[in-house]
Amino acid sequence: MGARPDEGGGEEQVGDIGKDEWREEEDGRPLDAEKGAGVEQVDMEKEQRDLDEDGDDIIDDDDEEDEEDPLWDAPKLAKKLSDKLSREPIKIRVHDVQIRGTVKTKESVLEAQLQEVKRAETMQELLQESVKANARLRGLGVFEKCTITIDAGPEELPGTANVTVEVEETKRPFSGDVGVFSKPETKTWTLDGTVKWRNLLGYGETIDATGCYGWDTTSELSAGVNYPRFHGLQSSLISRATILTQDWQKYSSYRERLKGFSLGLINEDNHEVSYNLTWRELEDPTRQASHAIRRQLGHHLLSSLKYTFKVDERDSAMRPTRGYAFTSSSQLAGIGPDEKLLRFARQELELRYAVPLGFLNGALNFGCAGGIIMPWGPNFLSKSTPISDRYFMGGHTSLLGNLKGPSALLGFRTRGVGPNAARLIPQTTGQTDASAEERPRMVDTLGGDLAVSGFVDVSMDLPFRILREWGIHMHGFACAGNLVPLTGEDRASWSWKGFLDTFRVSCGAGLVFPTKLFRLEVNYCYILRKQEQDRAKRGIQVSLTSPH
Amino acid sequence: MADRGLVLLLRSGAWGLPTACPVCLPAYVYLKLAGVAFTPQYATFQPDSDVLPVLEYGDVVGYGSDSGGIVGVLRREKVCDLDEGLPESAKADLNAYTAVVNSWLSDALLHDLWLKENESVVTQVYLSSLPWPINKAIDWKQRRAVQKHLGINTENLAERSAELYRKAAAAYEALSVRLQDQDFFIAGKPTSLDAAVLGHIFFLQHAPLELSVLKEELSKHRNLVVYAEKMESKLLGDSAPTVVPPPKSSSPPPGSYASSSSKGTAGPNNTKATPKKRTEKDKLFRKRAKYFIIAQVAAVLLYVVFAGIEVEDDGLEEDGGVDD
Repeated sequence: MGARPDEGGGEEQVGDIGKDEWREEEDGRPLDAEKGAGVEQVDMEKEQRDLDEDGDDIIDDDDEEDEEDPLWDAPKLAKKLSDKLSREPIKIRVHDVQIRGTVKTKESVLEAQLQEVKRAETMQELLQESVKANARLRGLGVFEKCTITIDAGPEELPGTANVTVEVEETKRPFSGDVGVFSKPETKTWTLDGTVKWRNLLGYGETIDATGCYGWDTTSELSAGVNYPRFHGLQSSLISRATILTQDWQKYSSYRERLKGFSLGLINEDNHEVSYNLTWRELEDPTRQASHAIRRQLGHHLLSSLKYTFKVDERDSAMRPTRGYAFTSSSQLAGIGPDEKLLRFARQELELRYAVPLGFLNGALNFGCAGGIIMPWGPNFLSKSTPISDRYFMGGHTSLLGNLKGPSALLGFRTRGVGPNAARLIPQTTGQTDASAEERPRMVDTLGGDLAVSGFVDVSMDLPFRILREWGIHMHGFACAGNLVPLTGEDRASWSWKGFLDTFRVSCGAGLVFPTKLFRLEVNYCYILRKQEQDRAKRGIQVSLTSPH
Repeated sequence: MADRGLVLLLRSGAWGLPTACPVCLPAYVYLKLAGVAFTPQYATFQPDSDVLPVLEYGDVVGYGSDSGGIVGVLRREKVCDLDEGLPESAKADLNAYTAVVNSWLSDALLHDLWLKENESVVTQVYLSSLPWPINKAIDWKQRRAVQKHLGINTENLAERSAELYRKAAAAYEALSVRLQDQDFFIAGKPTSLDAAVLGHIFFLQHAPLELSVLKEELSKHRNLVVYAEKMESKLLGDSAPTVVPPPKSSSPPPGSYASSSSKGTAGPNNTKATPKKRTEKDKLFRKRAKYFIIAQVAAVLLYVVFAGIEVEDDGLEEDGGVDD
């Protein structure tokens, strides 16, 4: 630290000046140059003061000057501080971080969130990082009150600051949630219930147990632990054990039961790595599965590693008007020495871009997504991919919203795109049913290994004020997609030209009703191009997207 | 969709058998006896399924658990029927003997397969394509199911086993008497009873079961053994009764199974010599020997560990004394 008199230029030191303390207290509000209300008591160092060689203040002089100083005027002091802060970076070193008020929360949890605060080098940085740390600590959901106080450091060390964090833990660590949600893929409603325990073990973790029941289609029971800022890393550790039953009998004649657990690290800066071990059991209670699906039935073990990279710079997920979003997800299955594990590699990419139109709150949205799944190992071209991991297109998800890969194609039914296989008729029923021959053959959709989809969407407000207030607006869209199997027996030889020629295209327009829980769309869809095996319908279609 | 003809979905084969599952083998043999061209394919991920074998014929599917089994399915689909045209008394005999085979003999075989120490055989038949640990989990589950089916628990194991063997012996006796020196059981032509009995005997002869009381019982009836040997080369060998469709390669999961052609594997030769017969005494001896050796090794280790510590302690004490 340089010892020199200052006149407001160059480097300045904010230090402890005798009995006067410099204190600033804030409660999570963002700091800007005009802030004055958050500062309760500010005292500024004098503009002229003598400093020793080692930087100590000459206390006596300062005291005299303080007592004469009529500047116990909070707003004026605040303005002075703000001016100083906006002019120059004020060098500072954090001497100590004190944590008060923790009863069962381990101090390491708070220290992990305060790493950046400790490393701050200027006043501005310290203030910014304190605000962020405060938000993070509140975000844990474990504390009822959280206050960060920046104090001057000890007298013998000028240019330092002490940071004190005072927290008050919640008395009620439990919280519960029950809701009825719509699952667009299976067009059913599910009843979800969640119970969360926060900070049970004192590590700032959240333990949750979730049950989800959808009449005859999906039921899930899972429990998980979310441990933020695991062991000093920037990432949270998430582990989850799940028992899930999912019913695809109507579309593909199978029902899957999954029992598994996953372990993941999520970094706030968009990276996520997770390992998943699941026992999958596929069965066919309808006894009508097609030839291809019957070869998929049985028990499988999935041991896979997945890496996801996400960037979302849009201004809103439900109604984006500017920005872009990108996600890339890579999964490698078959981690383990046993060659009988499910083995495949899966890659998915999606890009969205929104451009504001400038009038009527309008926006132009582009999106494209692609995914490919391939088995690996000896003789991989003749193996077929597991049907639970293939790509399916069609259904009742809207085009905008969260990035879910190449799955949305308005106008087409759930799993309505792609190759089908005819279901077989059980012999015992076939004989007795005389009208069996007249009924159209039921088919199973098989999905595809390579899927590509894209869309263009123009949205704008309606000219009625009341609708505008509620956020109801209209949109017009055009979307296209295609999927094709790549490996397995029975696959037709495919070519890029063939792939491009068989693209399905649809367009339409509709009204959007955004609510807090989900985004509801009522669209009229017109199918421009489809293949003969697809299930698609021209007409009014309702789409639902939840923000999760 | 290409016409696949008749497809029979089976469990995978082993030990020279086209399918190693005692439930699927009779269906295979029946189709061979009837001379119908079909394609065997393999379902390797469903060890606990109760619907195998599955018959896919055009757009109709028939299950082994349907009424009458695969034989009934074939009859209703008018593909083949080995039992038609039999006189009433013969039909009555057929039904009675089939009931004996499907209950007494099949239960005794289940007992030998699951409740004796034949894990390797079970693994090869059912679990060869499943990775660890789900193969262990399913094995445990199926074992419990078999115990329940046979009504066996730890208390009544001995008496239930004796009962099952008594019934099996009686069944073999009855079949042997019925067969005498004829070529087939009923009316001098192959029927579903032949398929059922042959399926059972082929499995028993080929699978490397240990301590199989059933095998010993069977060997007491020479005419059954000779009959099976005679039919084996015809049915499991290279006979091609009608036009055989080109062999289709089924989706190949890793794991061992016989070739997927309808000709079956080459000949009835076993891959190794006659399986070593181990008596109860041998097993007990080996178990005791194993424990003895483990105890010896443990004693040696303990000696080394504790003897070693004593030596070190003496050394330290001496040093401490010197320092003080």
